[in-house]
Amino acid sequence: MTDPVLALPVLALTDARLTLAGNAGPVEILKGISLDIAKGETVGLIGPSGSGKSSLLMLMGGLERATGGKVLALGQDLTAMDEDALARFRRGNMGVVFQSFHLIPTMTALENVALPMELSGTPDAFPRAEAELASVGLGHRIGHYPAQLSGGEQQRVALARAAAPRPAILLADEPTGNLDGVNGQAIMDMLFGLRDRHGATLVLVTHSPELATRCDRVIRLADGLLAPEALAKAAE
Amino acid sequence: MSLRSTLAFTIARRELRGGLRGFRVFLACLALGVAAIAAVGTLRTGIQQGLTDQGAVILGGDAEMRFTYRAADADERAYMDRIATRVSEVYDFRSMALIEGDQALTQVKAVDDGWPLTGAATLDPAIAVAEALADQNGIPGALMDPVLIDRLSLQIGDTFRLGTQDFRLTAALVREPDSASTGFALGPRTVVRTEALANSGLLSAGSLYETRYRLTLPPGADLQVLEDQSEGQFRDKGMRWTDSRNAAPGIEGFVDRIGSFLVLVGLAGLAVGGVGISAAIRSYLDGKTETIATLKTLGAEAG
Ligand SMILES: Nc1ncnc2c1ncn2[C@@H]1O[C@H](COP(=O)(O)OP(=O)(O)OP(=O)(O)O)[C@@H](O)[C@H]1O
Ligand SMILES: [Mg+2]
Repeated sequence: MTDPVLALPVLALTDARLTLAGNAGPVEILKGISLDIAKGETVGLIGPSGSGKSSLLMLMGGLERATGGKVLALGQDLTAMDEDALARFRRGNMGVVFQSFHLIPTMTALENVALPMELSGTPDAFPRAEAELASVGLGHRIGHYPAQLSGGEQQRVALARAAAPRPAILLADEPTGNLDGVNGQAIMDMLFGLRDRHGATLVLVTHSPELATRCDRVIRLADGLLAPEALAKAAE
Repeated sequence: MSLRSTLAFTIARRELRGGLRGFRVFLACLALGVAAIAAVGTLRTGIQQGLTDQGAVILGGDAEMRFTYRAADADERAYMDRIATRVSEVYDFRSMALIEGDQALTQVKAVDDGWPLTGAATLDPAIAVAEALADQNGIPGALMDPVLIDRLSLQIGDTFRLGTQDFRLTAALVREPDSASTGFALGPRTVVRTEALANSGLLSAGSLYETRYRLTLPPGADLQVLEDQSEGQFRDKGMRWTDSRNAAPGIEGFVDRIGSFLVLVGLAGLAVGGVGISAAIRSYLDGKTETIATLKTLGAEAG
């Protein structure tokens, strides 16, 4: 990689910290995370429950604001942006998929997928949304509301919604956690397929070691810190 | 509309597919509360306006001097004749209307030729009051509330007795102009001429009756001055004064109390509606919090 711009990491965290106010005083959730993720890289985020995987993903997506350190995405400092600037930045640059699909219940599958593109003012939001739904095998379901879709179908809609704006960064938090093996496998195949087709950078939180092995790199979190082997790997 | 606000509108409209179901009951409460309070206000104003406008009719004269268990004495009559252009005397007492094999309680009003001084009585058949109350073949006429006529199963032309005096029912008293000022009545009304009661034994000493003298006053008479003057002279002898400024104090008090009560009901409705709305909004927003969070995740700005 000779191009200095391409060589820039897509995500760069420097001593990123997150402290949230809990019931019994402040809780230190992330205790100083330093990490670079290169363009096109697929990173698996693993670790025990409560270790801070989701929180770290939120920080990368600007959905949670770091209380210390720096978080750079595509060269922009997320810690310096206000809520609205973050929202604008997420449009088009970030696609997020959650374990529980977070579709908007009052909108059809098509409207859900078109929504982020509508928000960023894309003129052909609806045709693109339709094509994207077809690509996840839901071309015949576009007029259905989330409640009329199975869990696997809902997650496919969520996937289409995340991918349709062609974001540079795809963040997925246990996207198969609520699905059975077959459906989970299908979602994973689609997710990796999207990454392959569009060259997005993918950060994937997972509990499945098998899935982790499909990633270019695996980062292990423990108690709000990067586990030593991850540090060792990062130092290589 | 800008692109942004158009989109916000579109999203909002999609959101409303969920409907306003949870709000309907409370919106109805609010509407009812507001309507009740407004209606009560209008009604109360209307009634009070009516009482003021119709004061003289309701009272049966511009002013009234009232005595209990006795008629006005010569002094008092002379005084009335001096201040008023016309005077009408009304006796009011309870009695039993008797027919063969039945009887019913009635509130008797015994009147003179002057009654009614103001307003008009509506009779069925529509004959004149004087004609209705006149003697016929030595039997005086009488008017009765239709309720009482039904109760006693009387026909027009039938006779009944008050005390020891016979009367002939000549007409039903459909509307009695001065009924509102009479106050508490224990039975439906019977109207006869006072003279006809001379042999009834009902107005002898010791009977329980009231006399009311309705006065028509000369135009421009000062009611306050007359009230003070009359009370100064006759209050000690048991005279009570009422005039058209406050013709039916009982009704006004009643309207006030009912009005206050209905306003309270309205306020309670508003309170229930308000509490309900805030609870409904809270639960509605709780339901929408996730949607809002999702919208933000997808890059929707706050404003
Ligand atoms: N809003 C919050 N306020 C206080 N503490 C929080 C909050 N959100 C998360 N935490 C705590 O932060 C820690 C990390 O949470 P996080 O959701 O990032 O864990 P995770 O690694 O994703 O776990 P899991 O695998 O169960 O999803 C947990 O101990 C959690 O209780
Ligand atoms: Mg998690």
